[in-house]
Amino acid sequence: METRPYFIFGDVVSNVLVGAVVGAAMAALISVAWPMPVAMLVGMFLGMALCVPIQITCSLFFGAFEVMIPMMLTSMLAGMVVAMRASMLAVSVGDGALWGGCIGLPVLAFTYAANAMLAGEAR
Amino acid sequence: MSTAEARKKWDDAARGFDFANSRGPEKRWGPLKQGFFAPMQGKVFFLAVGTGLDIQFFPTGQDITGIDFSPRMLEKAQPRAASYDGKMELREMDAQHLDFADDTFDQVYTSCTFCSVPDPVQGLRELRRVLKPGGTLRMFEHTGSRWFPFNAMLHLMNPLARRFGPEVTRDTPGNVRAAGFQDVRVRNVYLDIVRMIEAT
Repeated sequence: METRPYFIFGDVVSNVLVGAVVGAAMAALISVAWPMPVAMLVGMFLGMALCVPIQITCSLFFGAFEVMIPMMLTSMLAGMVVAMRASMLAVSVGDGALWGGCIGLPVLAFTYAANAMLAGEAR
Repeated sequence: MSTAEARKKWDDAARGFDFANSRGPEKRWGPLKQGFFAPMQGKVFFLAVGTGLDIQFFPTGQDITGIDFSPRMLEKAQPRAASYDGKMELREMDAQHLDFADDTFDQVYTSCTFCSVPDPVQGLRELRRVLKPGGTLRMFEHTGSRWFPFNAMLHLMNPLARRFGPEVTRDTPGNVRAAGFQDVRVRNVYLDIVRMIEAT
């Protein structure tokens, strides 16, 4: 379990940032004219694509897989959720960023919990 | 990917390798790697040196032979090897065809290596060949995951990752067993993706 404040701060910032960017992009792109399943698929894959440059930048400062894995998960989930909402009702770019950023925190908590569960001796 | 293609990929990557890895990743893994390398003793083989970023974590006073199949990586590693407080020799060599006699080394160390060796089981068989009977293989490696959603994500990322760098879906503990190592112990460092493996 990571306990160094610098890296915990980096994990939080990376996930909130990527979630916010992906959420804002989905809010800008998706409208109520989109069928929801298509919007969600586009959100997931576009979220992953948008994640790559942000992930590479954050990785320079905060680590490799510890940064890459939760950021990728955040971007996929933020892309799907915000795209789904935007296909149902109008979502402003600011709201999309807020939703996306907020999704980053539970995703990070999930990966920390999974890491604690899987730590130690393995097969 | 052929060995020649892999060599070219890592030659190309050598220029930006330290920029990408010397701060975040190495600082995050630094304390772990220091502990990982601490048991070094006897005649030690280190595969693959890369630009030599790991040398800072080696205990002093060891007798270490390091190899890499990328000449550009080795060029970058030379100054770090020269400043190591101990005996350290670097050679250009392919892990799949080692130019050492059987039973040469007491210990073999790898660090994020078997994500990139084109034929990992062949490379691990070579490590087993050059290890003395009772010698120890110690690996700090990233592997694929057995757990959803991490395994799905790594499989989605792998086509891009392998094009510019390492593969991210390999079953390295399974490859170690397939190469003939009997006693294989695995410890997860991050999820079940970054792992320390010890085998005899």
